[in-house]
Amino acid sequence: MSTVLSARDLQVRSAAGPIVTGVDLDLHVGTTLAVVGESGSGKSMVAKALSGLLPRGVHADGQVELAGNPLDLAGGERVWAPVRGRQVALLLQDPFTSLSPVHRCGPQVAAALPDGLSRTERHDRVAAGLAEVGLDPQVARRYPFELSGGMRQRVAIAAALAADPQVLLADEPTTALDVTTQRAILDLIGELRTSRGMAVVLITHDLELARERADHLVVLYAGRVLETGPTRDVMSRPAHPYTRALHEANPPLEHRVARLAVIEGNVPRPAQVAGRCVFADRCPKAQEVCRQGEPALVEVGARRRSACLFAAEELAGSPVPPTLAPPALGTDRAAAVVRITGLTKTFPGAAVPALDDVDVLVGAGECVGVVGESGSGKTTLARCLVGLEQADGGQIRFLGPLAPTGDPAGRPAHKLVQIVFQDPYSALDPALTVGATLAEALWVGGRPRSDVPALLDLVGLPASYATRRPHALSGGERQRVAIARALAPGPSLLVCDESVSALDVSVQAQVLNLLHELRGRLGLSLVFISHDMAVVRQMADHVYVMLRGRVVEDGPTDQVLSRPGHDYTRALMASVPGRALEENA
Amino acid sequence: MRLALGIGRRLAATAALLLALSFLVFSLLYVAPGDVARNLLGTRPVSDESLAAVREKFGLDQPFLVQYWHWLSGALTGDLGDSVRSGSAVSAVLGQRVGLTLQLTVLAFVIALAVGIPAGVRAARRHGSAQDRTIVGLAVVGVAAPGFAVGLLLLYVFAVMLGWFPVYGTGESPLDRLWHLALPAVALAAGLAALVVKVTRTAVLRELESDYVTFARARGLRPRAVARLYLTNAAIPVLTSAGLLLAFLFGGTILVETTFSLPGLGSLLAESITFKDIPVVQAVTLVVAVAISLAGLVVDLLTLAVDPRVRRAGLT
Repeated sequence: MSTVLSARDLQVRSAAGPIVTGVDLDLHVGTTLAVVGESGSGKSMVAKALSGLLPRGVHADGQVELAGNPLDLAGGERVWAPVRGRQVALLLQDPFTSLSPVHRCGPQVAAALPDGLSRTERHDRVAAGLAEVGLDPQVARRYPFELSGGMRQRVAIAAALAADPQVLLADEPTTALDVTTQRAILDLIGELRTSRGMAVVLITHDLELARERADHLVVLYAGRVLETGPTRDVMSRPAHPYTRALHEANPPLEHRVARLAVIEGNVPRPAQVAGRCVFADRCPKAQEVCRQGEPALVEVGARRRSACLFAAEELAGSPVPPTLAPPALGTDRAAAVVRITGLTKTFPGAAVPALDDVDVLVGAGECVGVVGESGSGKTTLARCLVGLEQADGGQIRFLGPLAPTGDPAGRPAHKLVQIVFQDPYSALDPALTVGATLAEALWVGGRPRSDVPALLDLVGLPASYATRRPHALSGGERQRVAIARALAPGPSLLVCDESVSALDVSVQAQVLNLLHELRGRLGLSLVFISHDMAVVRQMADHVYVMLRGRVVEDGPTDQVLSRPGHDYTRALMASVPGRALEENA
Repeated sequence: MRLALGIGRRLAATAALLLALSFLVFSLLYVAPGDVARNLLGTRPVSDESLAAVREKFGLDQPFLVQYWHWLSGALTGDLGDSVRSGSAVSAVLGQRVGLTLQLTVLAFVIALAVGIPAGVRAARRHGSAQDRTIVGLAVVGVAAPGFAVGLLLLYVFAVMLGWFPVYGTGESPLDRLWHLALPAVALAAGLAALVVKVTRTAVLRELESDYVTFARARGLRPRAVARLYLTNAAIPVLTSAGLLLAFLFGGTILVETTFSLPGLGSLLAESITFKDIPVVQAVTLVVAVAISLAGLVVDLLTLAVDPRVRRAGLT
């Protein structure tokens, strides 16, 4: 195996402090190296440093060799201009923003082609490039907004490869895409790697995805490499507690566990944890010595390195099998909280209806999962349910034992049903303190301001958080505040619209456990909307599968996910990263 | 098809807007203080006979809407009534003045765009540098300084002290005309260019930070090719605001034409207001309103040419 890119002691820092420290990489021709990390790990900065695209005020340092020649990371445009595109190309996360909206796809692909080609040669090269990524040559004449997300990402790949780079840096290339499209795009990148003899650096937050696609792993946390090694070895016997914890925090797809494993606390900023093991604060096995100095990344096996002082013990340890929960075989759906019948909704100017004759029933104390991809109508359903959107036809009836307090029907809607949105960064008013936000919600529910501490306690936050503003909170903490706000008026039904999908894996499990616990404590019913089948497996008792505005399948979670009756459900299940490997194992 | 429908709808909207404007302009006659007939008599001697003659001529005893209809049908055929002050036809008065103002505004608009757009792009590309701060600082001065003040300063320096440009007059030959209009156009363009700088800088900065610029650089596009991408995108907001800026320009002509003693529409409007020459005020207001609405229409059609998303949505 020949090495195409190697980096020694790669550093990225800004005036505010170090962002990434001491990263070593060896990238071989025809292989994929995954850089895995949560938000704030600095993984995107590694990609930007290796393509000379760091933002203003951020600098990289270190010895990097590209195709046998040393590369000056701080060299400026003169060094990078001949490298980018021809040797290294960077593919970005969001295909909806990575192409210019007012230029046709063809010219955007052609723009990176070498000079001196004739008109027909360029045309042919573009057509060949599009064919290589599985697109019709006609796509060259379309504008990006006329294409689906998956097609746009294919165009972006064709554009990135137009100048035949040896290294493709793919920064979360499928995170913005639907699950069924993700697999196809990752397959395509894998095929192109083989056919072109390229090397791929896959930047991802998803350890399972990395396990499925990469030959070699680099696990990054708070700007530090905690573990590196061949994927198979790292995943079967992690040599760092973080790797193990990250793996365990991933909700399993195949069965339901009694309680999801969590990593306590929040992802820190590199400056907060300098001079000691960066994971020590959240590590269940941390000892005094871990906080006294920064453990070096040391050899722990063939091509394997770990930054844990107790790596040997980690390697010797065997995984603790999780306690399984009884499978969700259905709940008592006779006592319904809400019954939706024949709901329809078509947005003005849309060709297909967002909701097409949808029937949904939520039992008392039940968690109903709604799964589907973007455009399936699941968010419209959620918005109709809380009255943010007016349905064209059909009925939403709130019935049955309505509240944990057992008060009679006839309450205003906000006391019946509340919603928790996907993005905790935009769901809270940045100008209000947490206390003011919650007091406002309590006031709506006719409760006194003095209930704020109790409300914070309910979602596992200290009462002192009432004086903070959202920007001082982490993503997980913000989502807890959003949940507290939704619970303030005492609803009997909580609608969670992708409420954990913007969170880091280690934090996602905490929030899922919280929701599960609240459900038991308050007798809440949940409508849990998600694209993530594994999360739905953990949360839902009954599941509805939506496709293009219609419910194509519903039933007890265990039955639908283990023995899908509809092709689309099967396709969704097959797209979950790591699934194929578990079947082979 | 959808596009043609959209354009049709836009044209209809412009026509409706002009109709509403014409109604407001006609109402000026009644909004102006004093008796309508007396106002229309202007400086002529007021007697019962003359008042009766004016009422008869303008149909003032007829219902308001009928009067409006007469005025509108006259205006559509080019008959805008007679000037109260001079007695000659308003269309003839306008005809003498409109050419100069048109030349002045077009010249100022061209100068403002030719200076403002490159300066704005440069400021955005050198964001945060001394150059950026200088350009933004000059733009703030440009927006803040009133056109007539800039005009006086220019007159003093370039016409009186240096003697490079004439102090007044409009020039005979086209080249001479350009020479005479240079200072007023620059005075008029100063504030406008400053606005163009701000709009351009903001638009380009936003595009520079977008993903597609990063991706274009990441796949090795030359700076020129990258610039072509973001400049096309930034052109959309700049174009949209250009229509608004044109309206700003017409307001400026009044002061600048007065400062430089130019016989254009602006100074005509100022004189006519002083002399309560209501038919002329109506006519000038109408001409300016038509020009601004048409500019809006042109901007929308140009946006259509640049932005495929608008083309697809069919103009809303």
